[in-house]
Amino acid sequence: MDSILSVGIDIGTTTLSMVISRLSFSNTAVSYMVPQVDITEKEILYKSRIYDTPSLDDTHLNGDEIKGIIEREYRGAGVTPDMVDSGAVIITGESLLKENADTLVNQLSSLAGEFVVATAGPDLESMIAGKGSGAEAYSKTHSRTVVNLDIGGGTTNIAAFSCGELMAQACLDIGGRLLQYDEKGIITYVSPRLNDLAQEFGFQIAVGEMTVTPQRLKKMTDIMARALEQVFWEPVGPLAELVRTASSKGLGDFKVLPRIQALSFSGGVGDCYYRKEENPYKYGDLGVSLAQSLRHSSLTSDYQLIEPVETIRATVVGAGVYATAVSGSTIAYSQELFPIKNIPVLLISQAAEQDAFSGNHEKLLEEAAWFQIQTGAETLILCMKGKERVSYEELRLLAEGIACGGESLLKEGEPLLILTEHDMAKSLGQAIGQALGNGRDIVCIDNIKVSQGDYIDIGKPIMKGIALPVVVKTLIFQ
Amino acid sequence: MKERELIDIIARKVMAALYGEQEPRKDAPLTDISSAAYKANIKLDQVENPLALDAMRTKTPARIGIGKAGPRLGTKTLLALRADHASAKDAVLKSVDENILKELELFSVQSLCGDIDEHLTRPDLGRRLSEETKLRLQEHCVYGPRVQIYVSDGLSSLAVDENISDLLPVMIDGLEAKGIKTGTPFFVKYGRVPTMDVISEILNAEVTCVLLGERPGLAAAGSMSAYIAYRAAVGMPESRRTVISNIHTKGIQPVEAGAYAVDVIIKILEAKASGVDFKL
Repeated sequence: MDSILSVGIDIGTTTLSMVISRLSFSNTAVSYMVPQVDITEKEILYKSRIYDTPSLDDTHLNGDEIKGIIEREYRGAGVTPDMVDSGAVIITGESLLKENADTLVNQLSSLAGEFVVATAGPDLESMIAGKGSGAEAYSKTHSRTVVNLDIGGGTTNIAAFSCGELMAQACLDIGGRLLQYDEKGIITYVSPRLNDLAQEFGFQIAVGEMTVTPQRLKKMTDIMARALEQVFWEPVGPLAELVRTASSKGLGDFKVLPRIQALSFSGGVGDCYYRKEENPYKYGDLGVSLAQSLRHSSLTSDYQLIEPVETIRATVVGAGVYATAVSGSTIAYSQELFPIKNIPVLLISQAAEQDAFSGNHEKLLEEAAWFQIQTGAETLILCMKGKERVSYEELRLLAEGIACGGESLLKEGEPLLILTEHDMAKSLGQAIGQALGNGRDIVCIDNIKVSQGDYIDIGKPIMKGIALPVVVKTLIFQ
Repeated sequence: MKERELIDIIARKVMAALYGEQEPRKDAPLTDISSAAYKANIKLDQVENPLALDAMRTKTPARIGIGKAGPRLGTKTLLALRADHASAKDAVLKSVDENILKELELFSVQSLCGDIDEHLTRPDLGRRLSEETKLRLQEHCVYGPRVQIYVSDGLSSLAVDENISDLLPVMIDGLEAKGIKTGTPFFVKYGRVPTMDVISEILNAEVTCVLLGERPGLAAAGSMSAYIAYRAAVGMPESRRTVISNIHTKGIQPVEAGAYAVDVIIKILEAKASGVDFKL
């Protein structure tokens, strides 16, 4: 059994935290079968305390202070960056909108360890928080459909899992810190998104003009809770649609779900929800009041509520423990290649794939060339579904097409990266190697699902080289 | 009620149970009771958590969540079981498709077994080759190859029919690409696993690999295994064989298994050992 140390760092709207965990891999197939490497144990070794996210001003995060915190926490955990083999830095909520978010997350990922990946994007966060909260594991062990709502300072990340499979993910601009006020109750900050909601009910909130009362907070948070309820309406209600996070792909997926059997809340507001926090002024924002509104909403009365394993740390645990996946067997690479970071996914269309299997790789080449022009990417990973049953003839034809595409699009010395969903990487990699015949590095991995717009990071080989740690992620900054 | 009417009602009920509410038209095509679609329909009704049951059913070809009729199997289950049993028997009793052997340019030899009945009842004869057969192999095959791959029916000719066209070329080309020349491939009728020991000795192969049809079960009739041994010799312990099993449509794809077998063979050549002496 092999194990690696993995770090998770979450820079949220309100809070910043870190976890260190150990992931253990083993071959779960019996000895007379093709090896199947899985992550078989996940143990959290260290949890940092929850920090307030340091910022310089409204549009900039305080990068130096954030780096300082992480360095301090590494020392506290007794870990140095070279001991950390994997993990993810995720930047979420309103922190994502800051002008230096992009640079900072990249700096942090290299500071944290060689294969700590930078990630960002609302839908990705929904998935990560859903896994970190324990909702995914619950849905798997109980074979049920579970929805987790991770409600933080700026956004609510919603993910649905059925029997352990991710079914839907979305993000709304609903969070505890859309409104902030001082000790005297004078409003110091209002998010424009909050006023979008207020507008629907014929009022507006302005900084400095109004003092808060529990009733006024409740009026606002009841509306926010109603927007969350409407996510599960069919069709999705207008309030939910109104505050959908711009870069979230949409809420449509939730209506095709099997009946939702359980619900959980995580994030800071989720924490208030289960703690039954009473003092609405405690954090100088809407968080406590929103948790109260949720307790009286149909989300509480209509569904079975479960308490997640992690509430406020759901995202950071997700990033540290669940971001890394492991690929099926791989082929033909040189050790120095890894880690490979931030490779954009080119998902080949079904039509191009079918054509390539029968020896016509025109469409495949067209799509790859178009992708390169569109994204300006020098490297890419060619991703396809593959087939459950493929003949040797089809395999060879496909391999020739890929080899031909690789030669025309990649610079000399660039590795050819291929990913298939079905189990066929070993044979495909071998066939491509024969078709290329020039010793170009080939990395061919399988058993990983991706979508268009994703990025992939690949770490150093594990288990004597029979598998690779892989992180599938998005990089969506504003 | 008249007896005739009663029979009619029962017949209709039975048909409804078998084919759903609609009675099949006389000229309608018959349902294939060994098909996956037919089996997918055999399901418990009134399940507390259908989601969970479906998830479990996708993970195994075993007949779970099928319901029952009192203490017995339901009619559909019984029929599917009988159909699977029939295909298992067919897989054993049929011969390998000659056209496939011809396409792959495999010549045939036979063990000491004269017919299928002898093959099934005399495993000791299946392990041996006649002197003429040995001579024929020596005449037709490269002597002293690093890797000798050959094909044998074993207990499922269906396994050869379904997998070999994809499995064998992947292995030969894969090894060749790594600079390893393979011996002349051929087919052994009525072969057993230890027949490979005789072949290894006659041809003086460093590594011998037989691709052999496995005893059919009720879930897969066309399952193939690759048995691989370093310097296989007659009388050696079984523990010296390395095996890759479950190569079939619903198991490991033959092309993928072939590519994996190439890796295993290369490692066996490096380690100069196989079976329990060899650690992957």
